[in-house]
Amino acid sequence: MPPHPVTEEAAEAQTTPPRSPGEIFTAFALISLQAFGGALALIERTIVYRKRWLDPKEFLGLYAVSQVLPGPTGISFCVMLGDRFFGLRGAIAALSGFLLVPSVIVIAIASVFQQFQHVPQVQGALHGMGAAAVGLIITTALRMGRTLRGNRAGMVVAALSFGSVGLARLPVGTVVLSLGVLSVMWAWRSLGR
Amino acid sequence: MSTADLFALFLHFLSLSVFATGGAMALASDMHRYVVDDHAYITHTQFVNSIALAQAAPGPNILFVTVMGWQIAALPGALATTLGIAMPALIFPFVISRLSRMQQFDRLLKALQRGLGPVALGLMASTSFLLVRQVPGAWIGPAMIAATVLVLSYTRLPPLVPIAVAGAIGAFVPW
Repeated sequence: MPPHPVTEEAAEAQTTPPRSPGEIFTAFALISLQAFGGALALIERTIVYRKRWLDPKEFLGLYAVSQVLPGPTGISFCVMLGDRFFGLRGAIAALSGFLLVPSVIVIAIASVFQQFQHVPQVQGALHGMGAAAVGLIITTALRMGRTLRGNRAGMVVAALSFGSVGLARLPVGTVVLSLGVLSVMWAWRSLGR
Repeated sequence: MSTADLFALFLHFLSLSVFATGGAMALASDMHRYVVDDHAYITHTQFVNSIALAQAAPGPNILFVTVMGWQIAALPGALATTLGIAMPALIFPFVISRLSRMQQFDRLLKALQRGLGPVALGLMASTSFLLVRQVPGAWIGPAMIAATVLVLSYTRLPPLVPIAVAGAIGAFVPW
């Protein structure tokens, strides 16, 4: 790919659709291989500024939809983007690009660790990595919590969600279908005012 | 593990995927119940290892599901969990193209975002709580968790840095 100065305006001015599902596969494989926690910025850079498949507005729209769709956001986004250009073939290309290559790598790493798991140092390293991974998850939760500042109804819903899944250990499905549905209905109504 | 068990595992992840509001990590506490508490396919430590390895390796964090499946039943297990989580998404484009013809689609989208955001937060908090309770090491584990939270909240370092450092330290301290 020839290097060219990319500005937001330039990207907005002209978009070029991907030529084939294969190109989508490769793009998502490269994205996911560079993604160490948090693929969003990377996806945007590739799709909007380098490949110009979407303009920034289209990207945000598609991302918003993926976020609220049932299912993990990254997965939904792959499917929606691939489908937009090549239907089901494109969706499968994007999804497998996103998951296939990195899953081979992560399985390779996991089986190496498994092979040496009786070595105390390896076990210790895994314990350490596990603790840091928990820290990362807590950080994500805290970041999400900050967006609720001043939103009393939201805090109540979050507390109920934690109470029922984290403390009472109810199935996630039950909670999403009851509390989630009520919460969305509440939001729907308050948006109408 | 029998074919029937594998299929049940696949179905369980398939049904969970539909409720993944706010990412796959929000489902961890349900997955834990199924693969650790109810069926004892893997231990709690293996469960946490899956998350740690997926976050340390390149690729989206959702691959912890793949590692988990691999630990349960090698390749068939990895396929069962990964396809279970990923496949439901393939029907969305059809649903969305129908919905987007709706008059108040934008309002629906906003309502879903606003309504599900707090639920997703509660789920992430549940995952955190589940993992924090059983962290190894009398004080070293909790200390590493706290240090990671501080580093990630107050610096711009990528998550890989605390994971790599904690792994390196973990290899040489007594747990």
